[in-house]
Amino acid sequence: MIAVILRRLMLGVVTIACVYTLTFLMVITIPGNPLRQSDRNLPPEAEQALRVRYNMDNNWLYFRQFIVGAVHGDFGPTFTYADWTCSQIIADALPVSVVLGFLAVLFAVVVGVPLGVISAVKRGGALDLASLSLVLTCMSLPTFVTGSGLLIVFGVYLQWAPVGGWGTVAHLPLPALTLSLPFIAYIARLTRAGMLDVLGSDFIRTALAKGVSRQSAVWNHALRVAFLPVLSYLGPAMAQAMTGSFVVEKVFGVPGLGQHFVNAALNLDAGLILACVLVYSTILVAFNLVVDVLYGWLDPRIAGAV
Amino acid sequence: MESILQIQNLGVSFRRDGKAMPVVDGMSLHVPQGATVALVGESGCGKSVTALSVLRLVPRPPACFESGRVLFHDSPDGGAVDLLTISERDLRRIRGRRIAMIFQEPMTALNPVMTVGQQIVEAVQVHRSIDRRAARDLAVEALRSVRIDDPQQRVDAYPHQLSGGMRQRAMIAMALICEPALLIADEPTTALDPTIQLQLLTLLKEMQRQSGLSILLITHDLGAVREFADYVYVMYAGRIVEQAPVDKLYANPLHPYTQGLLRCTPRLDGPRDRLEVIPGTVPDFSQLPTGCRFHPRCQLTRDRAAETPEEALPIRIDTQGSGRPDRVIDENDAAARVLRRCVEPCVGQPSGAPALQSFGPDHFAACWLVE
Repeated sequence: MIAVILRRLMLGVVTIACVYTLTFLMVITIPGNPLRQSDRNLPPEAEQALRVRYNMDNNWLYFRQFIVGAVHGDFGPTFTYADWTCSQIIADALPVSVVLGFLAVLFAVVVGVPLGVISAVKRGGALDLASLSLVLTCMSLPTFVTGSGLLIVFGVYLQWAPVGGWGTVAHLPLPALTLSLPFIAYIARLTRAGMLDVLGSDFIRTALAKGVSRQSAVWNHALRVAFLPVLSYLGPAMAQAMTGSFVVEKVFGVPGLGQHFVNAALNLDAGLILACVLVYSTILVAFNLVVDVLYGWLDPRIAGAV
Repeated sequence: MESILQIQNLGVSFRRDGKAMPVVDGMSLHVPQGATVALVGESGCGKSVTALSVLRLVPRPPACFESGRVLFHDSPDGGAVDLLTISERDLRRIRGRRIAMIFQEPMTALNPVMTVGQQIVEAVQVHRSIDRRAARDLAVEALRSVRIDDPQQRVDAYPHQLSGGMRQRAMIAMALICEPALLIADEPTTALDPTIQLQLLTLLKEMQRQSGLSILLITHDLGAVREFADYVYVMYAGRIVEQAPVDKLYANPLHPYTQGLLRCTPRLDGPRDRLEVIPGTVPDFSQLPTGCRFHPRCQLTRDRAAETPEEALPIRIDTQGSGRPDRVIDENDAAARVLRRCVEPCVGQPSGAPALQSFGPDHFAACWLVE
C-alpha cells in the first residue's frame, strides 16, 4: 500500500509539472502586455526596468525561478497588486475557498446520498419523481440564479443570514448551499444509479433471507457498495468546489481565491496565474490520491490494485 | 411422517406488459421432518421461484402470488403458519432463524465489501442480542464446523479472497448458524466443479444427521439427487409432472419428461453412447402450449401419433410443436381421443394441463399417456 501511495505521489508530481509547463507556455504566448493594462503611460525606461525585474525577456530564467520559488512556498510578485505577493494573496484567499468548498461538498453528500437512496428504493413513485425534479432543477439552474434567489429569500425577506460578506459562521450557509446545489444533484443521480444496480443483487436477497429488515438491507448492505462511485466522484468534486467558486464568491462577496484567478487571467498577471494554477492542480491531485486510498479501504476487492 | 413444510396449490405469476405468466401453477409439495426433498427441472421451469416464494423473497412486482398456501409446521403443538400471509415482522423472525436459504452463486450471494465473519455475525445478531466477541467466536466455530481450515484467519477474509467451494461453505455456515429447522438450497452446487459439489453435499448430509435438519434441494443435477435426496419432485414449465421416492423414480420413471431427463444424465456404468437430449427448449411462459405443456417435446406423444390411424372425421395434431398441425387422426379411435387431450386444452382442467395421478404408493405422474 505504501509503495502504491508513493508511486501515485510521484505521478502526481509529474502531473503538476506538466500542468505548470503547459500553463507557462500559454502565458508567454498569449498576446498583450501586462504593463500596458492601465491607463497610465509608462515611460519606456520604466517599462524596460520592470521587464528586467520580472524576467519578462528571459522566459527560461522566469520558468526556472518561478518553480524553484514555488517549491519553497514563494510564488513571487504579482503585476497587479504592488503591495502584495502572490503567496500573501493565496494565504489570504485559499482558506476561504477551502472552507466554502469543503462545506459545499459535505452538504452535497449529506443531502444527495439519502436523496438518491430514497429515489432508488421508491423508484417510479412520487418521492422519486419529486427528487428527480429537484435534481433537474439544481442541475440546470446556474449558480448566479440560485445564489441570487437564496439571497433574496433568506437574506432580504427572511433575514436569516447576512446578505453578503465573510467572517462569521452566519456568512457560511448561503454560499455553501448555493455552491453545493449542482453537486447535490450529481451525487443524488450517482447514488440512485448505483443503488438501482445493487438493490437487485443476490447479496441483498441473501441478507433478506437471513432475516435482515428491508431498511437495513438498503442502508447497510446496498449503500456500502452503491457509495463507491460517489466516492470516486468526491475527489474531483472537492477540488472543483474549492476552485470553481468564482460566481458564488461574486454573488455573496466572499473573498475567495476564485476571483483572484479570474482577475489574474484578465490582467495577464503571469505570476498570479501560475500560482493559482499550481495551487489548484495540487489540490486536485491530492484529493484524487486521497479518494483512491479511501477507495481501496472501502472496497477490499481493489485494495492494492490502486 | 410429519411434514415440516407443505406447499399447497401454489400459483405464482409474473406480470409483464400487462400479461400474467403462470410461472408456478398449482404446485404442491411436502417436506417431511428431517428428510431431503429434491425439486428438479431444467433452468427456467419455475423451481427457483418456488423456492424463493417459501420465504416471500421473489420480487413483487413483477411476481404475484395467485393462489395457494405455504404451511410451515414449526410450533411444538403442531400448529402451522401460512408463510404467504403472515406479517412481514413475523416472517422476518422465521427467515434465517427457522428457515435458512443458500443460493447458487456464492460470489454474488455474499456481500463483496463485508468480511465473511461480519456477514455470519449479522445472521446471528438479527435474531438475538449477543455481544460482538461472542458472536465472532460463534462465527469462527461455524466456519470450523463446515471444515474451513484456519477459521480464525478466514473469518476476516472477504468473499473474493476465498475459493468458490469455500465461499459456499461459508454460506452454509451462515445459513445454519441459527440452527434452522429447514434449509432451502437453491442450486447450491451448480457453480462449482464436481469434486467440490460432492464434498459440499456430503457436508450438508452430515449436518443434517447431526441436527435433524430438513432440506429442500433445488437442482437440475440428477446425479446429486440420486445420492442425497429421499423424495423427488420433477417440475416442468411451472408444474409438477412427477413425484416419487428417489429409488422408485430412478427405477421406474413414468413421465416422458422424467425419462428424458434420466436419459440425458451420463452414467459411469451405462453404455458409452452419445447422450440423448430432450429436443426443444422449455417453453416461454407467455405462450405456453395448450394441453400438456410438455407435448411439443414429448417423444411418447409423437410415437402414439405415428401409431394412430389416419381417417376421416379428423383431429388435427401438432406433433412437432411447430405451431401448425402436421397430422390428422381419427376421432373415433380411443387412443386418438387421449392424444387429443395432450395437445388441446381439456375440459375441467383450468390450465389444460394433466393433473397428477397415482401410479402406486407415493408415486404420482401428470401424463395421460402413461398406463
